[in-house]
Amino acid sequence: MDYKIILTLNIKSSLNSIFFVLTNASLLLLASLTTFGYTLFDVGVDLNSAIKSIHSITITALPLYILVFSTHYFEGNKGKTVLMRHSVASRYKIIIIKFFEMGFYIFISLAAIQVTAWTVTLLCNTSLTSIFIHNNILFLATILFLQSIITCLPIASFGIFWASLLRSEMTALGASLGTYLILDLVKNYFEISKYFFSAYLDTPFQKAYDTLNGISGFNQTLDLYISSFIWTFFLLLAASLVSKTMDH
Amino acid sequence: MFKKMNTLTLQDVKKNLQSRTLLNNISFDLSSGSITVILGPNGAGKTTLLSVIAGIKQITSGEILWNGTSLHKQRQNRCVLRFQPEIPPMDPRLTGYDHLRYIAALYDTKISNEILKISERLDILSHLKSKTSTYSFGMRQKLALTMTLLGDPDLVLLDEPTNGLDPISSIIILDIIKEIATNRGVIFIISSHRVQEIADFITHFLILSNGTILDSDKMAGINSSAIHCVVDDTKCALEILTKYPIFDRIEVKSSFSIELHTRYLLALGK
Repeated sequence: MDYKIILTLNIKSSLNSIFFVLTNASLLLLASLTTFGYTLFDVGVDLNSAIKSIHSITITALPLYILVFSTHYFEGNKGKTVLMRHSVASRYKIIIIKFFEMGFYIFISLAAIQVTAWTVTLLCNTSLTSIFIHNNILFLATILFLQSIITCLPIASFGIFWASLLRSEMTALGASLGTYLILDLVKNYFEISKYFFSAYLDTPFQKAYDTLNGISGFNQTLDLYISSFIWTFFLLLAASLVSKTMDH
Repeated sequence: MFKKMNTLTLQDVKKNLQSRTLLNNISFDLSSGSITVILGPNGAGKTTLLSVIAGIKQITSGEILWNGTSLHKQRQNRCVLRFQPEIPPMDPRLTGYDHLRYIAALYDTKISNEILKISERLDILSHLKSKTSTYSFGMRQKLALTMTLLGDPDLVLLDEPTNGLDPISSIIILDIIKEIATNRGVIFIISSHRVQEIADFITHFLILSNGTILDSDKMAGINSSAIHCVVDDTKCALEILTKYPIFDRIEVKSSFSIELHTRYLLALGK
């Protein structure tokens, strides 16, 4: 199976989708408003403001957008998915392609959030521009961007799992959002935050704050990679197994 | 006769959904070059039967074999299969050509000249660059058939392929199906309500009712035959019988007798 063509066509289809444009436009708006909020009310606009803004959107709004987007398109009568279900393509391939498509969505969304936040910050304090470019902040921003993508992948897999398990798009959306929010709320109370993937959404930002403030020592990066990989792998595996045993 | 002789065998296929039996002990054999039509009223199980052969729905018991091995468990077997559902799934944001590319990518094949010729015969070649959101239902059906025939399949399942098509387009589609079945030995299984339209093209028929096969046989050699009926009221009988498309001709012989001409005498006999 030629994944490249399928992924290209999926992305072409997504880019044509009003839903895709709207979700990204609203993320962009949210990012600029939040950054303006931080830059306006923070005493002294600095690079921390930009990270704070990206941080707040990435841990609150973005997971919800990802869950909405990953459960979307999976409903029985949506064109591409049905096309594939009616083909010889194994269900696990459908899930892998969906996962790559979600990777693309996360990439675009995070790029929209981060570029907006950094741009607004640098526009509000033009003297930061030279610090940003010459003090390896660009490198820090890139690492932050890449690590944020990795932490978001289990969320996409979580949405895909629910979408594979349940037939209706709305039920899958409700179930994925509901379980995610409940687990996210109770993770600290039951002391399971170490094991739940949403806990690692913070990690790249903690590292970034520390680097900006000249602190070293805090390092949960390895945990972030391990947790993200394990959750992504097992959720996609479960989605494949579940969809294989279901009639569509 | 054909490069390779293939056989599709269904052995006691049963499909239950909760307490309902959708298909009950379906068994038949088909070989290369056959065009089989599945007849039956709404809810008889025609689409379910096509869906279980396609592997979209799982069977409760029984076996579906392709040349003696499981059709769905063997990957190389599943590659020979194509299915066109009643409402062709299409992404309105992609063009017709994108759809052909999509299917070609799924089956690791290329868009051959033959496929382009088929789309030309179906009068959709010039529309392939347009998004499918601009297509009429008939155009979608034509594109769906073109997509289904991509990559030289050996087994093609079509659910109401002539739905929403004008008579000329229907004949072209059926001509294409007949040509492919005769020249390449592809097995076609078609679900259709439009019996008269497809009668000249099919080699076998299968009548389903409540998930059970009422009758199945070869069409070859069955010519239009007549049934003589004695009725109380010819006018009333004519009113009712003309609603059924399976009769080619209905003749009033006397005040109390009519003659029904049909090519499906064997099926009606059951």
